[in-house]
Amino acid sequence: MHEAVGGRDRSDLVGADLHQRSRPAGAAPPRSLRWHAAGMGAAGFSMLVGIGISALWLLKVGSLADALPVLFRMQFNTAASFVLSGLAFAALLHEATRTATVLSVVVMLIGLAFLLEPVLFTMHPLDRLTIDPFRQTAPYPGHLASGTALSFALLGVCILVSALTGKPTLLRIALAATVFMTAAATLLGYGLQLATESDWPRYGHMSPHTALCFAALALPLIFLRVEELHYDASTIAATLGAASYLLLLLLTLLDLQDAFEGTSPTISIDSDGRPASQAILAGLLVVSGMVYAGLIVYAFRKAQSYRETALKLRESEERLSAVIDTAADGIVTVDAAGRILSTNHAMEAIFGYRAVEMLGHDVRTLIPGFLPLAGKPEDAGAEPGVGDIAGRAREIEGKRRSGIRFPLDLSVARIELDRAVLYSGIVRDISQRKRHEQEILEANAELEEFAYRTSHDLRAPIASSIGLTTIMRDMIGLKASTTQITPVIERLERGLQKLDGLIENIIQLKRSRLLDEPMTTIPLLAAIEETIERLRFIDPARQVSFTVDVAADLTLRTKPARLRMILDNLVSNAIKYADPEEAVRNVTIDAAMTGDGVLELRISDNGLGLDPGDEGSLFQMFKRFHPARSDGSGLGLYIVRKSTEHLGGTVTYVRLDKGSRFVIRLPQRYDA
Amino acid sequence: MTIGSLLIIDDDETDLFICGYTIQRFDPSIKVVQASNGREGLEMLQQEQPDAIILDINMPVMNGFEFLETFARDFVRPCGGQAPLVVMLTSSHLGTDRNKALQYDFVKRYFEKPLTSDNLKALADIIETGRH
Repeated sequence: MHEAVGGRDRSDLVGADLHQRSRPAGAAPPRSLRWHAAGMGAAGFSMLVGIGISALWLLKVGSLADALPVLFRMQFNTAASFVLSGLAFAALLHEATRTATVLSVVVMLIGLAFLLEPVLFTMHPLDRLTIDPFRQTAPYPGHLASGTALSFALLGVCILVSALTGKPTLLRIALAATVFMTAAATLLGYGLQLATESDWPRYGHMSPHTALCFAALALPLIFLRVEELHYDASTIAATLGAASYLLLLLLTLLDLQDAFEGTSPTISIDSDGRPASQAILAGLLVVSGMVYAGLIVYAFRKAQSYRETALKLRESEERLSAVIDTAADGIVTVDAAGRILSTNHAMEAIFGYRAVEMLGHDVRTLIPGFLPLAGKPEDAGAEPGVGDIAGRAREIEGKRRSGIRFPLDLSVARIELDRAVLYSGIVRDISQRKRHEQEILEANAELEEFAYRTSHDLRAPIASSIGLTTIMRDMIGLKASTTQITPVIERLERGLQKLDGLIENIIQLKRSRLLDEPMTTIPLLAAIEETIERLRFIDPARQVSFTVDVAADLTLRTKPARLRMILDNLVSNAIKYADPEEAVRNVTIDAAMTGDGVLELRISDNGLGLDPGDEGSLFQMFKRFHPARSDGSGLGLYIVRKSTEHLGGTVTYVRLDKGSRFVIRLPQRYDA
Repeated sequence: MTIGSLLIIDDDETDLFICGYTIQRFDPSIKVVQASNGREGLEMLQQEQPDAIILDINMPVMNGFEFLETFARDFVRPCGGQAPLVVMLTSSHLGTDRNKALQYDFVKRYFEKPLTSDNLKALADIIETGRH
């Protein structure tokens, strides 16, 4: 193959070959390479025929002329022109542009000269310019038949155009196609002539081997690098075949018409006295019938297989789209410029747009980081299959219709089609997962804080107790009096009570986490009064007067144990942190339904209040703000907050001129 | 036995009582000053010049670590070797708390509650060494 290719072309073709090899599917050599080789073959063939026939003419082989007169139907001038044409074509294929130009011009001029000769000169001086024909094989020996001359002229222009432009052009294809059709029609005519055993006088001016050479030269000129113009080679071939056939039919009909009208000077009558064209026509009719029948069968089969293929394709598409549309992940395909080509239902759900609204738009309005390589597609294509970003999920940001940004997992695959590159993306909304992760992290941090503080707060009273018992033993050793030892025992008791309270709180907290009680409707007033009665005397030294302003028929749909935790802690805080210096220590509890279906419960006191700046940590665990006043665990308000949040509500602190107010808001449409 | 005075910073009244009693039994001549949180401790230091500070960690208002930070900035750096030394006395036995406290040069020991006479003996030795 490489012998047929040479010079600069070779390196190009070797490059192309390597490129081809890197593609998995390209087992056959590229089409342009095949046509290049065919072109060289055609050039060689026409030169060989040209030289052979020229030699026969020059050597005046009389015996051969008698035996095979058909050989000499190709005139010497024709043969010489084929040698020139072959050389011109070979030069063109070797990119020897100048040689090809010169030779093609010569061929073209010869063709034109012989075309115009009958018009310009009466004596046919060109016919015998190069050789004196020793045999009369044509009406004008040495003269190029008009069809032959025209074909040479067209062929010359064809090669000239190719040499000058250096690329396939429509003009080249059209000219070469004309030459081919003429030659093909002639050859078909000869074929029919053999079948019908009649003469083929009118078109016989072009000998069969002349026609063959023309056809051979014209074909590569039509198809060489034709794919660069994006023409379908098989369509061209079919058009050529049909056109040749129609041309032949036309010529035959014209000939037949001439015969009937008797105007043709060259009409030939065969032995039966019928015009030769009639037999040709009959042959054509048979051939046409056969071709027609063949075409019908072919078309029928083709249509059938097309229907089956279409059905299979539709089924396959339906299956595929069913899979894609029911996928939980968003699936999107985009072209190389980032325009959305298709989406699935999950994409609609994730981004809040309908599919038709997304199609055709830039995917980067949804996922700004979709194509990190979009700016430089040549890089992406440099190593197909290697630089692939397929399968690797990236965590990036998406943007919903509402404008909200959210985290998503994205994996993008590059899809190489014949003429385009697509990207398919699989999108997974991970905002919920992220939120859960955050919640777990927060819960974990809280748990760690809890473990740290309990390890301290549980151990502290025990350490104190050990210290106190050591002191008591020491006092007993010193024979201390009962009045001296009693306060130490009281301390010990208080320490243990504190420990007990802390453990009780921890249990409460634990229960508030795990407790799964049903919603119940309870009268709020009764719940508040029950709490006050239970806690009123926890500290006889701190007498507090309660005012409850709650409608008797106000009911609350809630979880009773949690509500009691909230009330217990807030009421006991109000008692514990009452201001001893106040003459009347007041606690007011009022509750009302707000317009938007939220129950607002307010517990106000004129107690010690909170120092400015402490509000931030008020509801955190193990925070104590009046350590001198009470032995609280620091968990009370933390439990209040956790319980309220569990009920879907909020708790807020309001600083009063004197004292504090806690506001609990519980939504009454809450369902858990 | 050469401890002149001690400042005890602890929010728990019982712990203050235990400390006071133990110190009294160890050496009745030691002057004891008490504070219930870090901020009070810093206020005390404006008037008193104890030989050592016995410091709890978990306290409201200003905890032990916050106290150490301020104490290092406002007392140890300006006064150099003249500032009182610190021993921790806490019920937290977590390694992280111990390391965090001992990274200050002036924090000499990390005792766990309750305070014992052995603790005080060790403290006296440290103060003695520091004087020479």
